[in-house]
Amino acid sequence: MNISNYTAFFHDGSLLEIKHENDKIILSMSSAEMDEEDLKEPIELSNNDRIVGKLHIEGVKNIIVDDERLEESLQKEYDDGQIFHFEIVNNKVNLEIIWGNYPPNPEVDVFSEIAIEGEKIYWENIPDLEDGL
Amino acid sequence: MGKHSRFRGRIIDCRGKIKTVISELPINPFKDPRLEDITHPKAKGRGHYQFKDRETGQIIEYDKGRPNKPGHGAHDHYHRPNPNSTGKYDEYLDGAGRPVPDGSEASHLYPPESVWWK
Repeated sequence: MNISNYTAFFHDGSLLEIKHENDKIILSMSSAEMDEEDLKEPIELSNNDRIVGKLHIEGVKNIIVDDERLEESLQKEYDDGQIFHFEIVNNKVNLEIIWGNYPPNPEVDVFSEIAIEGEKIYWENIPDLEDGL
Repeated sequence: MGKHSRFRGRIIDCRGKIKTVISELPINPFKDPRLEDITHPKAKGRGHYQFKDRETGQIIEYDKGRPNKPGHGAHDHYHRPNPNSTGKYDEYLDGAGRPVPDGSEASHLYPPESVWWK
């Protein structure tokens, strides 16, 4: 499955979890609701009609967050990461995330641009991954 | 914006996709005197806007479409955040004001003039 064919459907989807260890980053993600006719190949969707799984980025060379190089680990700092834009260009993942909190945590108004460059990027489809819905 | 309501409902487009249409949503929110632009400066540059109804205080989100993309991301559309949301499953309101999940079809709202699909 080439996830690049479906990145546009992650608009209004979710960045569920970030795991960053050494030079490997795993982003757990969920698309917005999909229509099966938009699938170019047989892909098992979640029970709420979304592409859900983990984006693996190996051999991470560079992480840019809001135009600044990130030297520490990439972390999810808020309850919710709504995906505004997601694309993979060559070996670079570009994300625009609208961060939010749910009660009792305080409201936030944060918009981040994240670019991650790695040597290998692949998608692990996990339709039964917990997506909070 | 409730007092301006004239029509709200769901229509089925030529691909059989259901779209939620609300006539009170403006085609161009930037020219609507009812709305105050409260967009995060960084989000503004990327096409994600927030407006506050000056009278009711209701917030609406407006996402500019990116041409040549599939799905809702290709089209200008609105969301109505649920002011009483407690999580992703009730983050937005549908056209009838009922809580719906983030990323759901029902959370995408359109003014009637802009409903079309490739």
